[in-house]
Order: sequence, then C-alpha cells, then structure tokens
Amino acid sequence: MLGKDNNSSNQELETIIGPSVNVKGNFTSQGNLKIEGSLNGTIDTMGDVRIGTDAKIKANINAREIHISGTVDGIIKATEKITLTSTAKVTGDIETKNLAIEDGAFFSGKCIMGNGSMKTIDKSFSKDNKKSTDVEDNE
Amino acid sequence: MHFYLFDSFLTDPKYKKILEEIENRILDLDIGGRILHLTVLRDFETSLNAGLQDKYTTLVIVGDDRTLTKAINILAGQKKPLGIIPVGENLEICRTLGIPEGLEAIDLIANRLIEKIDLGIANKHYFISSVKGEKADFSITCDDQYDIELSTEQKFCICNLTCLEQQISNPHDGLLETIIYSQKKNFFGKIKTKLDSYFQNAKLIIKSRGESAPVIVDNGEVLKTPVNLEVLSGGLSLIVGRERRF
Repeated sequence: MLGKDNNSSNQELETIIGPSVNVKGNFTSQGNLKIEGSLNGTIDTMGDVRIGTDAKIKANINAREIHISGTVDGIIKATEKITLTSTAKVTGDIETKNLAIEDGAFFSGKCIMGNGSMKTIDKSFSKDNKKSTDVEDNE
Repeated sequence: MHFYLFDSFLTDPKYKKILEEIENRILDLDIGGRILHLTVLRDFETSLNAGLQDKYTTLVIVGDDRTLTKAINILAGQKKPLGIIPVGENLEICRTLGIPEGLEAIDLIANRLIEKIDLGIANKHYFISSVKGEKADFSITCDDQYDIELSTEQKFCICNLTCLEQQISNPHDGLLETIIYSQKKNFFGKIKTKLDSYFQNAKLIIKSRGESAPVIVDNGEVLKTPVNLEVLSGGLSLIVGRERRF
C-alpha cells in the first residue's frame, strides 16, 4: 500500500472498497481485496477476499481464501478456505477445500468440498438383499 | 557541462540575494555551465530545449514545483537527467524528492544521485505527483474492467508520487494509486481526513456522471473530464536526495 517501499515485488497489494463506494464490473487482481461497500460483477484474485458486515456483493468470486461477514449473492470458489461468520448471508453455490460456518450465518446453495468430488447416495436392490445402499463417487 | 535555467518568477527583487549565492556556489563546486534566466521575452520550452544539446550532461532548473511540472512536460521520455534547485514557496513535490531548498540542493547536483521515476499522463499532459477531484459525481473506470462510483461528498486523489499529507506512493511500480476519502471539520475547526477506499491500476478514465467536472493535476493544471490516465514507466531521470520519501 502507500508507504516507503521501493521493492514492489515484496509489497503486498491490497485493494480496499470502502463503505460508501459502489463498484461495477469485473475486478481482477493479484493481491488481497477488502470490501466494505458494494460490488456488482465478478471478483477474480490470486489473493484473499474479506467481505465486511455491511458489504453487499452480487458477484461470482474466485480467490484463495474468502472471509464473509456480509451479503453475497453468487458462486463462490476458494482454493483454500471459505469462512462464513455469524453475520454472513450467502445465496449461491460454494466450492472450497475447507469450510467454516459460524452459528447464525445464513447459507442457501450447494456446497462442494475437498478436491471437488461430489458424493451421492444411491438406494438400490441387490439380488441377495432386499435393500442395500451404495455410495458412489461422481467425478 | 551543466545547463541551468532560472524560472521567470525569480526576477522578483526578493530573490536577488539567493540567486547570487546559488551562482557563486555552482562555481565553487566546479559544476558550472551555461546559465539562462527566463524573462517575459524568453519562452520556457524553447529555453529548456536548448539544454538538450549533447554538450550539456545535466539540465538543472531553478524554481518551485510549478517550474518542475512545466519542465517534465517538455522532458518526459528524455534520457538526460534533470536536477532541481528549489527556490520559492510551493515546494512540496521537491521535498518529497528529498531535495532541500536553495544552496543545499546544489550539493545534490554535484553528488548526482540519479533515479528514473514514473510519470503519469493525463490527457497527454504529464504529471509527477497526483490528480485530484472533488464536489462532483465522479466515476473512475479502472483498467477497462470495472467502474468505481463516488458520491458528491467524496474526494479522490490518484497518485504517482504523493497526494495527501504523509501519503507517499511508489513511483517505480508502473501503477497509479487511487485513494477515495472524505474530509470533515471537527469541533475545533481542524480538518480530519478519513480514508475510504484504495485501488492500484495501470490505466484509469475519470468521468463525471453529470456535467464535465474539473480535476487538478499536480496542484496546478486544471483539466476537464473525461480524463484518461496512464503511466510512463521510468519517464524521467531525476537527481534526487538521500532524504527522499519513497
């Protein structure tokens, strides 16, 4: 950020969208993003995204780690972790390696975890058993 | 050999003593050369271009921040290093560059610590420090990808080198830093600045959602929206001081 630092390769890039700022469009970045205002579009970053309590996001988000305390409507994908705090309101699908949801968070959507494989339960009848349950992996 | 250009406002009698001291110091340090004093009859651009001849190793301007901003619009992209001897009242950019006022600056010219710094370009006008705007419904398009919408109460400063007090940018990264902020007077009448948002981009377009609005470049030149901004990386070779703030 601003400051006496001549070595730009070591300087962590952080973008801040303040509470009274409205952003529209496709936001792409190499660094971290902190949102307290509103954003309508897409977010694509190699860094982390932090969404504040009063933030209102209508966007698909791709990031490394995503920490949500505000309102998000969109598909959210994190390569490492997604955290929903108690004030989070998320409408949309989530895909991540790790997920943490605090008591009080609102989440409505599908959730894909781990390496992206989805487990379904298939109830079928075998020859010998009247009822059996198979779990199959859909890759 | 050096080429020295003294700005026209220095013809004021109050500067006579300091100018004599400067010229004597130049001779003492053996960094003399051609000295040109601007008057109403001499054009700044023509005079400065005379200093671009091969026989001169360094161009030195004597004046204030306004002198510097006039010079960079002529010298942008040139390889010859530019030195400054700050004299006058408006010297904020010079201070950020670590260049002391008056006679001490001549020692820097002799030491010749040269740095290539980025220059900003605003509608074909070069700037070194910042572009500011306020009191209009501005929107800023960033890297042709997204728009930032500001309210009338908000101000913005797009920095290449420095903008707000104590806020110094990196003039080597090929980027412009946008700061959105608001200012209010507290109970004692003191202005308090609240930083709101921060972005880094290589290309910006400043528009206003209503009528065309003014933006101020380097605390001097006024341009009307829309204003296209980009960066000329390493656009200026400058003799700077060790006390520079970047």
